[in-house]
Amino acid sequence: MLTNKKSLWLSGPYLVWIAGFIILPLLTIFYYAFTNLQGGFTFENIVGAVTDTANIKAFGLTLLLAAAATLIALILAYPLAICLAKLGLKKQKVFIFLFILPMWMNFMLQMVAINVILEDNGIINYLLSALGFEKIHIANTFGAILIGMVYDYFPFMLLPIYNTVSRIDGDLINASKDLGAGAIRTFFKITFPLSFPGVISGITMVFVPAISDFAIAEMLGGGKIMLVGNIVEMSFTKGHYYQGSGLALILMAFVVISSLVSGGDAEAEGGAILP
Amino acid sequence: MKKIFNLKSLLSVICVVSILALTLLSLTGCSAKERLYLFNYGDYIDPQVYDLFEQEYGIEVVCDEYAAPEDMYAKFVSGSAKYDLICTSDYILEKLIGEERLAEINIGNLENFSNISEKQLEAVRAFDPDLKYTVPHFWGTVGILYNTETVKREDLKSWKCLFDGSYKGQIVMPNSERDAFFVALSVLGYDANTTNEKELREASELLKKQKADVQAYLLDEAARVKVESENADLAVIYNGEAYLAFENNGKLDFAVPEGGTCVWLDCFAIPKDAVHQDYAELFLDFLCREDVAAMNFDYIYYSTPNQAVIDALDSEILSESAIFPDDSTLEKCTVLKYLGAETEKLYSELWKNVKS
Repeated sequence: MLTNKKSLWLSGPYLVWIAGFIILPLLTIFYYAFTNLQGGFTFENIVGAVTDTANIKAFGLTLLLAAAATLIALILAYPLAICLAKLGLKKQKVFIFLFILPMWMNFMLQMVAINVILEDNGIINYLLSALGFEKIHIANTFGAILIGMVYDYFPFMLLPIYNTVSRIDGDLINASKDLGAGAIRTFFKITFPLSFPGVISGITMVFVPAISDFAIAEMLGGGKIMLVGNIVEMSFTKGHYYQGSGLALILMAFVVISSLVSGGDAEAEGGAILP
Repeated sequence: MKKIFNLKSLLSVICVVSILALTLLSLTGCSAKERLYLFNYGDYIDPQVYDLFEQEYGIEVVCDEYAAPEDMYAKFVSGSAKYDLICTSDYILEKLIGEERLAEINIGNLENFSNISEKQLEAVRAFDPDLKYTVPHFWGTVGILYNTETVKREDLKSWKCLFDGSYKGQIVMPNSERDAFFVALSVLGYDANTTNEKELREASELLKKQKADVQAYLLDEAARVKVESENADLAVIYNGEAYLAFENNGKLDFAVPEGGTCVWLDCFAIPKDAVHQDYAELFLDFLCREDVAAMNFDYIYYSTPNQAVIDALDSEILSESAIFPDDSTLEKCTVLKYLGAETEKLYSELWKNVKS
């Protein structure tokens, strides 16, 4: 059989990949974050990243937006996952496929389409005015970015929850009912605790990419809302690598902390079924 | 058993190695073809021009694109990619010339250079006094593209209409710091090229206050489409976008406020470290050729500096003031200048504050 030692060097190509495209860029960011324009060591970029008023505002907005997107996705996904788990196996497969389908479409197209739907003369407002309602203004606002985020990250919430819920042993539910527990009690004592790892995994998989996002904000915010990711992007495209790296490092700390809070093995829960 | 597995791992290693080798080969193999590396604004040359150039000279043009001039400068200076030819705007060119990053162009090699109008070359002297480093591509002004059904033309006599709340939520501002600040500075009555910190801070306050009324900060095509699709009533935009907008939506018109506007000149330049200055000059000469310049003009309808093209145009297009601003407009125009590292830093800080 293939021993551990021997199989290890089969990962060689990937190790080369990691070194070149993950470790090296990370080290570069660390270097820039602690360097000033003259090439000396400094904490200025880090301190600047958390004291600049525009940055503080961006951090607040980013956390708020990511939390809201995660919460909405959870509220939408949890009941749906329970429904799906109760369907026959064949139907489950069809529905899961339908929910993953949007992920096959190019991200830019998704965002352009959402913009067309939300715009002042977009599809929603067309329908509203056709039905005699007032038009709503949602394009290029906080709300538009929120909708974009929920849309984009929804499958990452649904799949891990569905995964755990569908694996709950029906006998446990029946036993609970046999012992006199009602539907609500059964849910809180059996279903919810058993699905909890999936919920945690879903929260991580939505919250973490959401706090580092900049593309959705750029495309649906009309350049009016700056998240931390947007400021990092702006710093780098305008050539301010030092400040940009300082800010990117702080953002990375947020990502690491939120991944740790939700437990190390959370990724494995959803990773299995993700295409 | 053991042997078979060894064979398997050997096979997979052979696979991986050969894939890597093939990738490397295909990457290096490309260099056999002659190439010219160009760095340009997005959608600024008719793609058919590249095909024609390749047909005639056997040199393929590889074009990288950017949106805002500051982004171009950052990438260019970082040296992460080497270019044989770049195209960018006046004040960035001035900065590049000042930093001695550009090569002198052998204008004598460009047979068709004489097609460029004298008037245009005079304007270029503002940042390239000896006409050594740049060859004009397009030029234009900044104005307001608007919907005639919802916006009154007389409001547009001054840039103030963008700040007095009369078009709440209907304004598209340029997502480019110098252009946005220019509008605010002009309303305040300050010079577009001011380096006075107090004046710039005042302008940024004005822009910040205006933000509630702004629907989006967009550039070029994105801004145009917003007004075309009637999702916004007016956009501060480069005049070249206006003509295309008219064709797509008959209700639109273009106005330049009477207080004056800024005029921009986009030119080509050759970096000092260009590998193929000869190809770059060949391509520049090709671009100045009447038929090629006409192709580019028909492609984007920005004001062309090519006199031969202008002479061949019919009077209907020539009288289109959105494409060819009249002299009275041009007299009141300012060319944006490079303001020095200090002011540039202040600009990015203020712009970040406006947008966040």
